[in-house]
Amino acid sequence: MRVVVADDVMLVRSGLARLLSDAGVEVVGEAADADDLLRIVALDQPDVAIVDIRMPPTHTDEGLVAARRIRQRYPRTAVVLLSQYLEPRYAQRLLADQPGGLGYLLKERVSEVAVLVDALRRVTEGECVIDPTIVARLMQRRRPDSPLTLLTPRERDILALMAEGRSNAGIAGELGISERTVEAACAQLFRKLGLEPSPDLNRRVLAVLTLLRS
Amino acid sequence: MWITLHQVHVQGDGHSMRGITTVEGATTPGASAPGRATGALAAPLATMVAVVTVVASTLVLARYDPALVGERSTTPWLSFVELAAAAAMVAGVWSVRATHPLASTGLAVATAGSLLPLWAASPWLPEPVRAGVLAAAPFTVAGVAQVALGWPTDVAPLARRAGRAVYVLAGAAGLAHLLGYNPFADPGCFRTCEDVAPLLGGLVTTQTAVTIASLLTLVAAAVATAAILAARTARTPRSVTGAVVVALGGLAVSAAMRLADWGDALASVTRFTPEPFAVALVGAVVWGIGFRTVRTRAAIDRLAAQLSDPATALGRSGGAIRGVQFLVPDDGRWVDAAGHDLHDPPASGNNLVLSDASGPVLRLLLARRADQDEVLAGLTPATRLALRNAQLAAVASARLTQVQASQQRVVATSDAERRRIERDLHDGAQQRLVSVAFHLRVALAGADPATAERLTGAETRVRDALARLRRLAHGIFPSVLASEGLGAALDELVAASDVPATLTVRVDDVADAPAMAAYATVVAALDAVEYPSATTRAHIALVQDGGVLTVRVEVTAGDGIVVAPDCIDAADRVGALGGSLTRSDRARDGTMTVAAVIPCGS
Repeated sequence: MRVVVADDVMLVRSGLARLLSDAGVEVVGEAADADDLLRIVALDQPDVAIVDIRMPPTHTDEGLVAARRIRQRYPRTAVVLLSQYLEPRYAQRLLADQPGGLGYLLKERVSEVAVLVDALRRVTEGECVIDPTIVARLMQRRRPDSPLTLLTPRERDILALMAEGRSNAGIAGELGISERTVEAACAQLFRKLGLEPSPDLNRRVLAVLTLLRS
Repeated sequence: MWITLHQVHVQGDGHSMRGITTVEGATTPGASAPGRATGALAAPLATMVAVVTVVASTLVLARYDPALVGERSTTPWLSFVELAAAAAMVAGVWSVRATHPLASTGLAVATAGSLLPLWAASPWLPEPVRAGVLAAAPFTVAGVAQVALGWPTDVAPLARRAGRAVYVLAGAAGLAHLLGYNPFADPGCFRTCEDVAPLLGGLVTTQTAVTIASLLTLVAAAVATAAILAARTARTPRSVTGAVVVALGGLAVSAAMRLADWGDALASVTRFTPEPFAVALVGAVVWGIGFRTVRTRAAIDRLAAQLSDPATALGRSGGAIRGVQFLVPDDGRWVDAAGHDLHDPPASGNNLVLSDASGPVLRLLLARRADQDEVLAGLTPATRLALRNAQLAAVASARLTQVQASQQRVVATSDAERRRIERDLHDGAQQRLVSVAFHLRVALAGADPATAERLTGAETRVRDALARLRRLAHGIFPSVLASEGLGAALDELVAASDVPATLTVRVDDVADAPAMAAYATVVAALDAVEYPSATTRAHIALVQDGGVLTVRVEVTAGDGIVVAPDCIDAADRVGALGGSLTRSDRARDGTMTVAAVIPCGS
């Protein structure tokens, strides 16, 4: 897997590149700002771009803008955004339109390299990965009009794990139930959220979208 | 007939005009709608009686036969005097109708009582009616007495009882006259002498009826005079009391003479009938006081207008004065009446600067042709006082605006600083900690088990530090508020809070400062929940309506613990914008409300 790392802080950038190389991921480039990043993506067509949300010059949402542009121009390059904020709103803004091939992780999560590598793999497969802390936040919301209120606690757990980017097998392992049970629960969950039968992957993305939009 | 009207008004007669006294009228239980209706009808009815009397007597005059002089009392000059008397009565009735309704009604009754008997001379009326109207005369006494007794707005119980007694006596006198009087049997009959058989003519002779009526009238006059003198108050002008007592004396003398002259035809015919003139005297005095009250009130209204808006009041002076500007002392700034800064000073036109001991206070902007000396001469003490007050008010609001602006600057500066700190924490300290975590992880990969354990411990602590740092940075400044707006920031706040909450946000576009104030209000309310429980609830509602943002947070404690919220930061922010923050104490059911009204100038 070929990745590019974009972060304006050199220490973070190099640390992250080192971590990924050690884990067997090929880092094809490091970028200090959005322009660098876009150039490297254009040249090397990496599988994933790991992008810090705050980058120069304004340190606000340059990363978000760059991520959108990458997804539009180079659909084969997935994007994982790194944020220092526990603000679901940013994730929502980024992922609301088409969350496939996108990830949103808290920066410190990345030091658990296994989680990062798993997330990278999932976004390259077109799935959507959201940081568990943010998912927990989103699940806490209790809007009276949200379809999420229709879900049972078990179904909510499954949706949360789905949003984190877990496979059915992973979810089954986490909850200590069989994979068949997870599949059945997923079917029920999709029905409750009003999602028509379609390739499973697509529906998983849509389910996460529902969570984000709630 | 003894009517009390409930009304509030400013006592405005000459005697009590020391200060402005607001007097609430006394109410009598039972004196309700019918009484009020009679009171309202009294003045028009009395006016009608007066008009008919004057018209009728003028018509009689038109058919005047000089041969009858000496036998009939209707002479041309008497007719004119009658007109003047009737006018005085009606003027009196109407002039105090609003301020002294009881006295006005009394005067109306007296008007009718004194004028109706004159109708007996009208040849167009049927005979029984002509004889009957004579019975109205005793009510003159009762009506006149009511003018003095009912003058104060809070009628004394003694006066009230005496008034009723006088009406009863007058009623009895009138009844005796009506039922027992046959003009033909009266040797001294003069307005009508036809033979009319009264209802009780067989039981009482006309002489007895006249005697009873006259005696009862005398007693009524005596009772009324005694009551008026006994129940005299400072609120009843002496002129009214005096006129009423004189009138009652005249009426009593008239009744006594009628009794004494019985049988003496000549004396009866030439006798002067004082009733209309007695009532006219009272009417004239009452009208004088009513007129004075109206004038005093107009003056007070003018004064009030000057005091409340001297600029407008001055502007009415023929356009000579176009405006007023006030100087803020020690500041050199000129402001308008609302305290707003005047950026462009008036062109060096015709300005009149008024000063006090400390220097210039205000300037009047005059029309180009206006004469400064004339304006100066026209400034009454009241106007000067009003201008002084207006200056104080203008300066106070100018200063308040200044203070608010300064408070807003303080809040804005502090917010900018907080925002900078928040960024520094994220982009500096937090980034460095993250990179430390990465490098620890890299080191961990090639470490021996003992070192690995220590490295893992260090990594855990770094992560803990990162989590704390993130919370700290967020507490310092909610960055999502600046980047994504109030609605998103509140979404985050509610999601991050342990308090189960419902959130209703109906806002369009709120500027940073009001948004921060609203956010701080919600934070203060939610922070008041010390230990939430499953039954704790918060209802947050933000509504923007025009230029006002209303925030209302209702927290129900349930089984949780809610303490008094610390609203100082929120109140400072709301106050700086000229809004207000209110907070209810915890009610018995544990509900606490924090509400803020924030101007957001859109």
